[in-house]
Amino acid sequence: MENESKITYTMQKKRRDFMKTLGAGSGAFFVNPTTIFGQRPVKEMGKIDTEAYQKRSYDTDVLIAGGGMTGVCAAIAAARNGAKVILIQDRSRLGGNASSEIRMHISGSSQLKQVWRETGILEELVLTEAAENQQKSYEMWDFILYDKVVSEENITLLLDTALFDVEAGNGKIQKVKALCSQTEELYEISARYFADCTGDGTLAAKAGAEFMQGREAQSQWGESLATAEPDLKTMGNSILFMASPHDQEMPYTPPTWARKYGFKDFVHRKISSFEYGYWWIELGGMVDAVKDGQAIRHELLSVVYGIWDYIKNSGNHPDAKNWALSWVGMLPGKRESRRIVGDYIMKQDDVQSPKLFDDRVAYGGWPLDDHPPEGMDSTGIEPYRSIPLRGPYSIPFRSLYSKDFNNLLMAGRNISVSHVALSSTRVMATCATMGQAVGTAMAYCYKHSISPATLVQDHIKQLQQTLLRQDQALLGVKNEDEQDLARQATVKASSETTDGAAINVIDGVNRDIADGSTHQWRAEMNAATPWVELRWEKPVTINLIQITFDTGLQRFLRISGQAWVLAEQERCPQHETIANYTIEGIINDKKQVLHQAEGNYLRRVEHHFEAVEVDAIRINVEKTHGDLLAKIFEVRCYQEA
Amino acid sequence: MMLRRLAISIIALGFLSFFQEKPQLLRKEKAFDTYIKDSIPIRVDLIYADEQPHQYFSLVRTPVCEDDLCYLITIEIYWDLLGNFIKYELPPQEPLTKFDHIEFSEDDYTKLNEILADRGSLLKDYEAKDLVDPTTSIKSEVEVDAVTSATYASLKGAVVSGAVYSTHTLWHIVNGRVAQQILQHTESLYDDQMLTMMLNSDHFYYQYYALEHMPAVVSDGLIPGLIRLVAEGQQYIPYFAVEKFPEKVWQPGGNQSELIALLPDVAFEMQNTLLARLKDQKLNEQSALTLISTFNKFNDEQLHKALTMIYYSCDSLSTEVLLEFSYLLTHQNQEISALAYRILERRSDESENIQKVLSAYEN
Repeated sequence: MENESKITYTMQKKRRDFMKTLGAGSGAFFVNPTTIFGQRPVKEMGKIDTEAYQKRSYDTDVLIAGGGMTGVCAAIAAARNGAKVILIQDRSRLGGNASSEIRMHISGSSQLKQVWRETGILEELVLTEAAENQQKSYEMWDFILYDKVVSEENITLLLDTALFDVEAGNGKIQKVKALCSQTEELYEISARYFADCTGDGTLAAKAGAEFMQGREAQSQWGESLATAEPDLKTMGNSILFMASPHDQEMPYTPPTWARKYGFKDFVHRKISSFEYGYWWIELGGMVDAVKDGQAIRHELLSVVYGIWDYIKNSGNHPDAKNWALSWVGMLPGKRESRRIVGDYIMKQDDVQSPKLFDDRVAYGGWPLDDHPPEGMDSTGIEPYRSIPLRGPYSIPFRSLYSKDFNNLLMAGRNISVSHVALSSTRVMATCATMGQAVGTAMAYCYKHSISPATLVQDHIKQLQQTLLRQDQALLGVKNEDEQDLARQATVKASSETTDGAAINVIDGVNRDIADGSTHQWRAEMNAATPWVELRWEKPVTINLIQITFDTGLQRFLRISGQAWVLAEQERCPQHETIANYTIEGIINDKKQVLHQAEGNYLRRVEHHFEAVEVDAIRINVEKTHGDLLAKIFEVRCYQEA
Repeated sequence: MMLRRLAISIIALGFLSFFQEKPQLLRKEKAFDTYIKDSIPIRVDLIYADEQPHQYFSLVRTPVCEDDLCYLITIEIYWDLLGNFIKYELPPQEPLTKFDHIEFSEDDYTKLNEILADRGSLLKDYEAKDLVDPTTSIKSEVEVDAVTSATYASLKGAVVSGAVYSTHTLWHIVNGRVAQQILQHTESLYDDQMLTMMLNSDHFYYQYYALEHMPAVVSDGLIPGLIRLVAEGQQYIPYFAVEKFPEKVWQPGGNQSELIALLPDVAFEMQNTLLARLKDQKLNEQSALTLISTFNKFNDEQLHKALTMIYYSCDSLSTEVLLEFSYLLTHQNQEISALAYRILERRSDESENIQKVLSAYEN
């Protein structure tokens, strides 16, 4: 263990190169990181290295524990806002419950059937996936997450790395300790800010932060959906499966330990298709969803194989005779375990009768969807009770940091919510938006050397404006960014529809918010190339233009194993989105091309260029992905240092 | 809307109850006193039909309040013995009205009935004020000053339009504590007679309740009722009923033949359930004949299972019975034709007719 090397992160080093050459994380590399791109570092092979489990130390601005959808979005957000980030993930793949290891849907506010698909980093990820993974491969979805993370120069990604200890004192976390068995390394990572995105609240619990577990009684906070008496029961874990049809009969023999099922076990649980397993294959709520995990996994497998035995051999599903299992999860997806206590605890009323929290940084829209803890141990009970919501609700920042440690934040299903509120906030799209909020906030706190509580008190408007600019899913926040020069411009266009005035691109709202306005410029594509122009009274100098396009936020868009879920999506660039466009700068009536784009499929794009003085800028729309209208929600212009 | 009041305590008339269409002697007596909305006392009566507990009834007068404005609703509510809503009736001069005093339409009354009958309605967990959007308003088409907030679009299916507070109030009276107390009251009266009544009723919830409360040892007297539910029960009732059969029901000396006779008419999944439960039983002559007569109702997999049952019993069956399925020798599914051949060949020494059939097939 004495062979300890101190690694100090430097922004100058190309992290992507670092990752490409990291290989097995050899000690030699850390001592001498100079490599030629594409070549492995040369290691002296003269003698056997007798040390197993060598200690490595890191120091960073921000440590994020957990590489599920929440942690991924948190890491990317913190990195893009200038913080140096170490992201540790205890699996070889990113994405957690959404990864190929579990394959649960990234559910969220699309369930409202309104306009509220989440934006921001999550939207960037799923738009990329829809466009670049048209083969619908779950493993390629994992890779898209990997690519997005390792492409951020500020992120150091440590895969297969499990947190096992925390050093904390005086209301601060100092460092975490983690282990990678693949590389036989023990990491000690000190950081200024820590984010618990583990889902289980492992970091916070190990540090000694107060957390909640189980179900609160109705009397505690007056929640009608709560239980009469408090208990330690939770929603359970799930294992999914996938199956595919073949050209011949595919017989199936279950393992001897598979459970047996009959028709009446499915009174509340429908077997509607075979290609993708069922969320109601759920167990573990009556025991400890974390500590009894080994037994829960085996029991879940006995349920999965028992149900497949029923499908194949009961005779009740003759159309399954050519079907065979192609994949069965081994990692249970968890719904609920610890909930860390923050400065505010969200409750049923905050979800069901929502108000706009002053410190809102994200939103949710999944129903209050609680599952009975018995799961598949009691098939006579309905597997869920879902209370639909009237619209989205805001999530306060005060529920996203620990009340006990002033540099500990959290996002995901382990935030400061009641059990009842968790039944809505727990879904991954909502968690991912919390991740972006927390990542952005940590970078902000680091930059200003403040605690999250101080941020809420004195800086929340600035944080909200930063989040909005970066397309975070937010409610009731308009663009008031004084640095945005577009807000001072006059706007005109080659043409506009009656419901798509050009001025909408600077109306401060970057999406449909179901208020009767489109909040976007719209122009017919059938004429000559439509354009929208922003013109200033006096010339301005700009080096950055940001545009927000339409990506059909009224639809669901997520990878899925379920055929009908995919069939309702556009598994390609979204037809509303502008694909090809040219941005011109105009000075003294002379035009200069600032940027030319082809094949865009993203909602938010940012184009940097050499600073230029312009009287106006013009965006010429050459092609959409099929829409007959050119649509732009927002244009922002900046001169950045 | 046809309005009717139940004003006397003993009535003998051709009253069509909700599940029994024969004249009954009705009588009601107080079941219990209770409260609604925590403070308004009501009396709940149990109506007896032919001296058997039949349904519950209460005449309710309740204020419905929206902000500071309150009005009174008078309504008669009927529940079944398990506390499920059956119907409501209104005094002739006191129709339900909306926020602008417009009377309910026929469609509104129908919708209210559907809402009150939905125990899982989201009204259970929403306060009335949370159903309406205070930032919007709808104006009356008839009353100039009448204005109320609009129900959120995503929730409007849960209430009668323009009558959010009435719907909400009535739902909680119908499905709240009173429903629980009714169930408790019935349970205090529960006995073998009520079990038999529920088992033999055509009421889904009664059937289910009876099956849930079946004694561990099922008496012979209950078996015909269970078999009826296998044949006629809705949804999953037949599958719960089958679970309650004592083992002897499946045996040749029990009700085996009767169960096999159900095969042509029960659902596909129940056919599979019955075949699976019968597969380890020996078949007697009668059962085998009945089974063979239903072969044309089976798919290949089921037919193979049924023929396998014949195979395991074939040594004790007459050769005449076995000849009944000789047509299967030419079945297009080779597994089935081979099994039919195997059975017939096993007994060919005993029957010239079987030998003829086999020889014709072989040639």
